[in-house]
Amino acid sequence: MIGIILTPDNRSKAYIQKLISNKVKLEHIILMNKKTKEKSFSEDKIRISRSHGFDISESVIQTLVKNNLTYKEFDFIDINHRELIEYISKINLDYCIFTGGGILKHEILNTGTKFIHLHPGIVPYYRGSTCFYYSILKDDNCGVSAYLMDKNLDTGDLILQLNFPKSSHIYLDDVYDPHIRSETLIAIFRKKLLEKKEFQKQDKTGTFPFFIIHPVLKHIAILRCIK
Amino acid sequence: MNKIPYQYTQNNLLVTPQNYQMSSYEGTDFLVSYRFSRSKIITKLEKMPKFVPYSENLFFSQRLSQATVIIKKNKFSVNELYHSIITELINNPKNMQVIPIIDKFLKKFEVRKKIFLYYNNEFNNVGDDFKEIQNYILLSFMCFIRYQVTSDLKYLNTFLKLNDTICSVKNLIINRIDISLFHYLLTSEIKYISKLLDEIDT
Repeated sequence: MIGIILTPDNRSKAYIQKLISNKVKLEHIILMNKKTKEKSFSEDKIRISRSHGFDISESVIQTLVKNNLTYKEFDFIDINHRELIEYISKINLDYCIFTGGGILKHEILNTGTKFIHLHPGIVPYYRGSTCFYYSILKDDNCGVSAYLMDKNLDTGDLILQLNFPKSSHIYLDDVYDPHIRSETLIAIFRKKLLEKKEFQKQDKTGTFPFFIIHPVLKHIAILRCIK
Repeated sequence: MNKIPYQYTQNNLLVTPQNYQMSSYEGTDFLVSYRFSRSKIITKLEKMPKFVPYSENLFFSQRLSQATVIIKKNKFSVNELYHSIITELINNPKNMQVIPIIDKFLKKFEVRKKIFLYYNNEFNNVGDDFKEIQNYILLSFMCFIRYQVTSDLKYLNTFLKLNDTICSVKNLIINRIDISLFHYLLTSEIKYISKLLDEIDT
């Protein structure tokens, strides 16, 4: 049994839209939703998101309703929230795709469900925050690591790692990051990796995480993409 | 002329730290503003009466304990520790013993954006004074040396953030070491950023 925890953001939009278009069956859909106002996007950003296989202008709820999908909604966004933990414990999932980030606490890790996270960097070299900007600067490409979350940051058992060319446009946060993560997610299902259960232990030695990229470096990385 | 001001040094970052989360892309104008803002401060430092060009002699006036000895004390001065690390790095830039200590303080700065005056041997701050500007300049210098040796972008990243913090309180830079060292750090930072930009065109 596989489920997904969605949040009202661009990453969730890419994940759910691509899972639907690739006919991946999910037993449970959970939406953590603080009901904040949807952002509006430029025509150019919408066009580029569509060229990457998802529509950034379509909200997560719109996608769920349009496809007649049932979902359980919570009015908070907190993976370690007591109500969510109780719910997850009851529905008995084997795997749950988690679109957000952060560290899972002991209680949610002990529900028996394995949480899948797609991290925008090839671990162990790129751990931490905004990693794909660093890999564009250093390696001229991007990567995604899919892993089962554990109590530490970006150290869980690996499911799949994929490399991608750097973006050819400037919308890295809103479009390219959700795109490469969702492509990796779809590849997991195409390759039936969750059924095969051939997960790989990570090399956890001596790697120091990256911290949020400085705007000057971020600009250089984006300019590198479009030149 | 720069069209938009470089916004990351506008407020006092010691009082209101910048988290740099989801910063927006402003195009090449942003980099022009960044450069303009840094150049203005470099010129200001050069005009200060105490300004002398940086030389390594700035750090050789005092006898210091080894960094690995300092961190074992129940309470140690971060300023003494940083001077000791820098002296060790100047003598041997590839000194492996001090790297975990630098990384620890780099992480502390990234998380809290503060460097306290004193820490204990578990690296917890002792007291809550964090406004000594020289400590930020010295950590910036360590990041600079590490980036110079390793080309590891983590160090350049924190180097830029530390320099933003220092630029945001530039009026606190008054002593000879701080003026000369920070001038050297800002000119070096611009050189590194220019080099990265040049790589785009080649």
